Amino acid sequence: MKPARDLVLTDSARRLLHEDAAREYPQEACGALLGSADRVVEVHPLPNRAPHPRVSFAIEPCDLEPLLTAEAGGGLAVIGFYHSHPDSEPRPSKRDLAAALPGYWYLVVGVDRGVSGRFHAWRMRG
Amino acid sequence: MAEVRVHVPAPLRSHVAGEPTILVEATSLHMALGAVQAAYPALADRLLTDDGRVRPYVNLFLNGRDVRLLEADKLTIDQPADLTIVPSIAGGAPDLTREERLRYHRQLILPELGLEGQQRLRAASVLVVGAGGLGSPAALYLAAAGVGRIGIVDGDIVELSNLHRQILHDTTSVGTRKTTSAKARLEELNPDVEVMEIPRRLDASNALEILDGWDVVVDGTDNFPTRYVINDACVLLGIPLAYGAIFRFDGQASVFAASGGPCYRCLFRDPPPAALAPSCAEAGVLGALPGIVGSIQATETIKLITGMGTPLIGRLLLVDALGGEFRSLEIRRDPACVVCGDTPTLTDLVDFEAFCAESLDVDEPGAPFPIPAGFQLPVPFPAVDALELKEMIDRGKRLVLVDVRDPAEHAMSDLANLGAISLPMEELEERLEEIDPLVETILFCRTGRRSMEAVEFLHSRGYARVLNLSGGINGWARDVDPNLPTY
Repeated sequence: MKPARDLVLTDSARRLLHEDAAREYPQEACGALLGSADRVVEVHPLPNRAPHPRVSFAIEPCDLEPLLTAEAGGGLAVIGFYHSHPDSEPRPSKRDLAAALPGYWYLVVGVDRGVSGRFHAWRMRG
Repeated sequence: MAEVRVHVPAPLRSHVAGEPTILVEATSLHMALGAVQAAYPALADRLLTDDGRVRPYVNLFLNGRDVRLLEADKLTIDQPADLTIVPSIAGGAPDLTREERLRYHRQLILPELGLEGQQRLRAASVLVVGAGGLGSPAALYLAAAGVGRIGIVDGDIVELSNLHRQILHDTTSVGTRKTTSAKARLEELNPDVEVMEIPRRLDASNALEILDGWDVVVDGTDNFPTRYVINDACVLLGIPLAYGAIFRFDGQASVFAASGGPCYRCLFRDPPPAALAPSCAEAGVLGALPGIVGSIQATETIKLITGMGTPLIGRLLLVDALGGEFRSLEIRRDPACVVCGDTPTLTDLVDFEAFCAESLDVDEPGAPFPIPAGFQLPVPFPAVDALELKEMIDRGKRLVLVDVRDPAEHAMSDLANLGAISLPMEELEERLEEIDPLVETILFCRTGRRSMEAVEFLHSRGYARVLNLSGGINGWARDVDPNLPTY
C-alpha cells in the first residue's frame, strides 16, 4: 500500500463523496473516482449491487461500462473506486484487499451513525 | 475485416505497454479475442480461461452490450467496433477484531452463520418494545450474539413483582427505569453493543417515529392496543416483526409483516373488547415461559438478519408449557387484510386505548391472546367448562342456556332438560332480542368452537354477560351426563 496522501481530491469531489456516503447509510455507498493520475476531480456514485449491501459492496460491470467507454472516448479516466463503511473505521477489510485490482486507487470512507467521517485511500502494487 | 478498438482498464494496461486502447482486426468477437490472444498473451490470460471462456471477474462489452447477453449471430463484426473490458469491483465490511472472533467463536464456527453472518449482526439494528418478560431474554440473547444496535422502548419502572421473569433487571434495579436497568445489563454483557434507551410508552401517536429505521422489531408487549399499533406500524414501514405472546402457561411466536407473509391482523383482525382481555397481573404467568418465547423471538430475529434457516413467516408456533408441547400452525396472508391486504383500508395508525383502557400497562406479565378459529387453547373469552356449569346449576345460579347449533344437530342431542333454548348461529343476529343482556347466558355448540365465535359476536354487540361452554355439549356428555349421546 502507498500512503493516503498520494491521492488528492478536489473540494467538490470530497463533498460529493461525503454526501453519497451519508445518503446511502446504513448501506455501503460505492462509486468510481474519475480524474487523472493521482488526482480525483469527480466522484461518480454507482448502485451497490451486493446481495447484502449493509456489509459489502459490488459494482456491476453494466453500471461501470459507460464510464470506461467514455474514458476510451476521451472523457475523464476511471482512476479508482470508493465505498463506505457504515458505523466502522475507514480501514480496508480483508475482503477489500482481496478484491482490489492493481492499478486502481481504492478509497474507503467511514460513516458514524449517518455522518460521513474520515477516509483512507490505498493502492495495490501491481 | 473491421477494426476493433479494445479498451483496456488501468489494472490490465501493464500487459499492453500501458496503452489504454489496442487495435485488432476481426470479423467476429471470437476472432477479435483470438487476435488479442496472439498479440498480447498476458492480457488474454487475464481475460480468458484455458478453454476460452471469459473469466468470472471480468466482463466484455461489444459496442456497449454485455457479450454474455448477445446472441451468437450478433457477435459478428462488420464495421469498426468498441470492445470494452470491464473489471468487477467489490469489497466487504471491516473484519472482526481478535476479541470479536473470540467472543463469537462458538457461533462463528457454525457454517450457516460464519464471518459474514456475524458482520451482518454487527451492522444490524433491532428495536425491542417492552423490557419485560419477553423483552428480557430477547434483548439479552441479541446483545450476546453481537447485534450492533439495540433499542429498548419502555416507559415503566422496575418493580419487585417483575423479577420472577424479567431477567434483564435485578433486585438492585427495583425503582429505576426499566430502560436504564436494561441498558446497564446489556452493556455489561457485551460492551460492543450500542444500546439506545427510549423511556416512552409506545402508542399510535409515536410508533411510526420510534419504529422507523430499525431492521427488525421485537414485540415484547403484553397488551392488545400496543400489539396492534406495533403490527400496523411494522406493516406500514416494511419492518419484519418478531412476535411473541404469553398467557399463563401458553405462548405464541411468529414473524409478521415480512415481505409476502401475513401480519397479526391477518390472524386476528381486531382487538377483543377490554373486558375480554384481562391483564396478566390478574391471570398470572409462569416466569420461565416468557424465557422460552422471548428466546424464540431472539432466534427468529437472528435468522432474519443473517438469512439463516426458515423463519416463522406464515407459521404460528404454539407453546404449551403445561403439556410440554410445541405445535406450529400454518397461517396465510389475508388478501382482504385491512393493513397488509391487496387494498388496505388502514393506512395510518389507530389508537385502541379508549377501547382497551383497562389493559394498557406495558410490562404487566404477558398479554392474553386470541386463538385462531379451529384451535382449542385456554381462551381469553369468558368461558365455563361442563363441571363449572354443573356447579353453577347446582348452586341455583340464574342462567340461560342457548344452543347455537343448527336444528339437525339439536335433534341429535339437547339440553332441553336444563331449559336450553335453540338459537342457531345463522339466526343469532335477527333474534338478538331473545337474549336478556342482564342474565348470565351460556352458549354451547358441539365442541365449544362455534359458540365461542357467537360469544365474541354477542360481546361485540354489548352482551357482556354471555359466556361460552368450553368443550360444548360433547364435553357435558363426557363429564356430567354420560347418558347424552355424543357425535
